[in-house]
Amino acid sequence: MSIVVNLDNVLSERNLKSKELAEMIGITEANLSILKSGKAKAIRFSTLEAICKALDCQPADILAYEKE
Amino acid sequence: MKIFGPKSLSTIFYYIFKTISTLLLIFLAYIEFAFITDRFTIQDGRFNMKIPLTGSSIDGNYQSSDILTISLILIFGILLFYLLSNIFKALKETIIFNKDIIRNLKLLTILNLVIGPILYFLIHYPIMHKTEFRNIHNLILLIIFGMISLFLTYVFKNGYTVQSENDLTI
Repeated sequence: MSIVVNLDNVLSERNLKSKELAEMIGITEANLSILKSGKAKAIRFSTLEAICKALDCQPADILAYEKE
Repeated sequence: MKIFGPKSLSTIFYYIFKTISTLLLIFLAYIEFAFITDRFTIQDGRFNMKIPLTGSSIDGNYQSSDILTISLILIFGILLFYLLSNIFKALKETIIFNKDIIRNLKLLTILNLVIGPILYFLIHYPIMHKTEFRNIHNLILLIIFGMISLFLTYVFKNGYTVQSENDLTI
């Protein structure tokens, strides 16, 4: 998929663990892992909003488009 | 009453079809055993075989073609009810769009659209040596049943894709 999830980079910049973020935004660690690994088919605006709010970032910091 | 999922109509149908397929298998095994061990009577060229526990009996022409026909039809029936029971087993799961139901619907389609008609013509001509074309309603029913299961296979395939995408929406 040409949409890349850069969640790991943002998490390390903020010294946060996946588990902590999952708790903050109210999704399971398993679902966050699916999102981080790029296996997710779609992301809800509500989830994106929660991530941006928790990490104090923009959607573009998390998602990027790469030409295949 | 619920149609799908645990404790639903699908669960009842699963047990009904599983029982029928098991009973047919036992019946087939008994017939074969009875033929091998001479547990039947012959009168006027016809065999008569008592069915234990039911008080009834089956009879037919004592010819290999008739016995082979009965055996083949019973095997077809066992497979049909076994596949139906597998389909309802998959429907009694919480998530009904699963790979099991697609696989069993595919097999049911093959059974009705390929094996059924082949068996029909095989029994009609090479085995029973019939000259006229009779009992065509059986063949029509097989094809209708096969077409329905073919369409259902694709409905469940699409459902499975939608389900997978929904599960992977975070």
